[in-house]
Amino acid sequence: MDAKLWNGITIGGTCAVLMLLGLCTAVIDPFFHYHKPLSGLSYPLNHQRYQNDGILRNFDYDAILIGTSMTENFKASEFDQLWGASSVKVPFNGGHYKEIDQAVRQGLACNPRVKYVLRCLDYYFLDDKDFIRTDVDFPTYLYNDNPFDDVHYLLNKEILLQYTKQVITNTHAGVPSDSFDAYSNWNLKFPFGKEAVFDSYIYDTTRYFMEEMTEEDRSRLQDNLEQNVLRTVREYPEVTFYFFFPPYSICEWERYFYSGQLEKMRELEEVVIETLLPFENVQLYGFLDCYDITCNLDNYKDTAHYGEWINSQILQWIYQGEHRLTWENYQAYLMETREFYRTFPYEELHDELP
Amino acid sequence: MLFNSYIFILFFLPLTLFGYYLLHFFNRETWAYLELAGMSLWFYGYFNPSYLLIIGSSILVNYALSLVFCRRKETSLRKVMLVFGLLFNFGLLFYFKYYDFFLENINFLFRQDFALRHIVLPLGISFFTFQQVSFLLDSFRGETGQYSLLEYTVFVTFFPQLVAGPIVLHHELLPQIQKKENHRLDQEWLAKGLMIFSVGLFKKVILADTLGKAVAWGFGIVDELSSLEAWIVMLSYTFQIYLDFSGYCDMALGIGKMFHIDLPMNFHSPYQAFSIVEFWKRWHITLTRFLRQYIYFPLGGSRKGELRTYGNILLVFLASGLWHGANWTFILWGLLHGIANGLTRKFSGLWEKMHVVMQWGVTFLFLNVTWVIFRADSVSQAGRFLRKIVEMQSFSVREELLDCFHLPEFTFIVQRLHLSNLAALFHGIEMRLLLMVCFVIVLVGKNSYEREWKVTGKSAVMTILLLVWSIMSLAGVSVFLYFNF
Repeated sequence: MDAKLWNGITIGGTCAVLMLLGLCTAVIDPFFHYHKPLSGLSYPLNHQRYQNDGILRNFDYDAILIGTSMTENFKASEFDQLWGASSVKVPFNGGHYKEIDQAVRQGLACNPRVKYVLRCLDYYFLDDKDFIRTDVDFPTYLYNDNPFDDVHYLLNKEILLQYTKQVITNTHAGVPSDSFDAYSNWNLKFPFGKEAVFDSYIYDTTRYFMEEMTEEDRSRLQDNLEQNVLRTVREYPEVTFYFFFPPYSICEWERYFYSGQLEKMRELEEVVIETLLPFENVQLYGFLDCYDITCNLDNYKDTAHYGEWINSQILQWIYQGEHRLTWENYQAYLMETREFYRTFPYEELHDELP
Repeated sequence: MLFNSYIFILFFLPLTLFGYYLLHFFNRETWAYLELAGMSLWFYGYFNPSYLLIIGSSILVNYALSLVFCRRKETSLRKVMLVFGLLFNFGLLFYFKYYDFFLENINFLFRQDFALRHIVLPLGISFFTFQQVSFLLDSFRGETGQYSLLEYTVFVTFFPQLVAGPIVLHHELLPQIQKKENHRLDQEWLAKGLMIFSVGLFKKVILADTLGKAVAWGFGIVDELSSLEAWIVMLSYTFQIYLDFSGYCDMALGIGKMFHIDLPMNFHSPYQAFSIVEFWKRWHITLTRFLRQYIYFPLGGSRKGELRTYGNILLVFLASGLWHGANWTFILWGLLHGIANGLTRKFSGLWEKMHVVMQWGVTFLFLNVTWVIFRADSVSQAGRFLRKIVEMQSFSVREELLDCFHLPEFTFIVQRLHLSNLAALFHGIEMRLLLMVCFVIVLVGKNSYEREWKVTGKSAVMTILLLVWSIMSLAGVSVFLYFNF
């Protein structure tokens, strides 16, 4: 064979096959990078960091349910029913403030119809304002607008053979697309209850010196809030932001108590409340005074994670405006919960251990 | 930039080739050199532009010294300049590669607390330093012609060999670049280049990187490994390091061919060696050549008595160990290879009497064990790993290790061929198959220099397959492990 012809066939053939394979992923688009789901195809929702950005860019919605794993068990349909909205759930398990705020901003920038954002505020208050998990390779090519690095998405056998193919397989098998109720919902995957919770951590009764919030802590928190919460709240005054502090179990507070962090956490929470209350488009909710929830370990799979029925309850309460923190009640709320978790007889929790 | 990246394969390489031949087509030789040097510097500085300062200053100083050697004949001045040149090159290498290691040992020995600098090792510094030292010494001996600064820069920075070798000598590269006939795109050379590049890319991306996952897993949990797992990880690393390094060199060779340039052979099926002495004639040949030519021979080689010969061998291997990295593991690795070389020489008669299978087996086992030391983070970790190997205590293999060998295309093909049930009968079939393929490649396969690269329909299909397969495997999907939610 003539070498010139060989080169033409080889280079041309390689390009053609690559383009064809890339086209499969581009057209089906399992991560919604280019378009919303094609009608007639069944899309699984199974990879938060790869799909959330596409969901926010390209889906039709007017409400965003977002946050850490504390929001994974929300059922979007319940929210939609209560608020008469059409919501998307985009959780980031293990996500921190900056990552979640970036996603909120992406959603608001891409979709001017958004009326509501429901977001949990986890107790990672002292995160550096720019902290983002770096323990894995982040698919930055899905998050930016650079069309050239999309090659990582399109010419990627793992995506093609697992995610793109799964859309086709599911469609053939008649499996429906995943809903935002099922997306990332782990309720059925774990046991709940005292035993599960106690297995999830090391019970350590060494009491450390009770720390208090320092000025440095305050300024770090305020920087974090300013950049990763308030800026967005200010820029979108027409959007209602529902923020809530997730009700971690009594065992998480036990850990704060023994490690000397309890007082500090309550003080930091006070700063967050006082910083957010002045905004008219913000509604803030706290459930730490729901002791029947936090002290009943049947609600939890570990020290912090509660079952989906708690998520449903939270939606109900927020919709009804119950447990909302206001200028009138927040001091009493803080004082009462601080006292409760400070004086709780933690050792009794473990008395009935098998 | 890495050869195994989208930007390199889909953009950088075609662009550089196109620009180079286009400029030559219009007889703009200087511009073509400039393009090649410029693109090579972009290639080098892609991840960290500050590296350009290091390589730039290294090029300028060495070039200036070579000019002195060309123009001045005073012996004393030349000697002073040579000493300065060697101090400069090795000083640069020492600072960037060995400074922290040196301080750590000082701190340990003298119970000091000197602060470490945590210097980031510039890419390929060991390669371009040795390459330039060889040039400097040749230039001192009057064995180099007078090259322009641009030509010299092209020689040092020529991107196919810049970061991972082979360590090319000036008379191997520059005359080829200067040769007029090589300035035209040769379809035959381009085709061969593509074939060799595709094989190298496949070795690196599909084989070495998959093995690398198992190796990283194993060396991450050495104390928890079962004996069988330790054996699998050890074997995987033996294959990984060869396929990774030789794959990279194949890619360099292939790219060289696309520029109508032959790069020297660096690997010659090293695991087919029947002794450690033979292994070193086949493994990283250009490094061995450098060490022989510029350390072993000047020290007297084998001409100054038996004792000196063995001493010289040990020294060369210690230097080789240290060249590979700043850690006692590399020094120990070099030392063991030096000793093995000496012993094979000393008892060559006895060795020759051994059955070839035995010769190969002992050599291969020795290589496996020494690669463990090479790969380990510390000598103590290597020791713990090797204890697992000899203990023979447990023969269980965890799913995590088997999963490291998983290739989604394997599942896809098995499903397509309706062989899922059959595959399920063989536990860890992907691992078994991959290790078997590696064995066949390293023991039976011809290397890139031996193989005849024929321009046929079959080779076109094969090249397309390897290129597509490898390019599609350059990126993956990260798993976000979140143990505690």
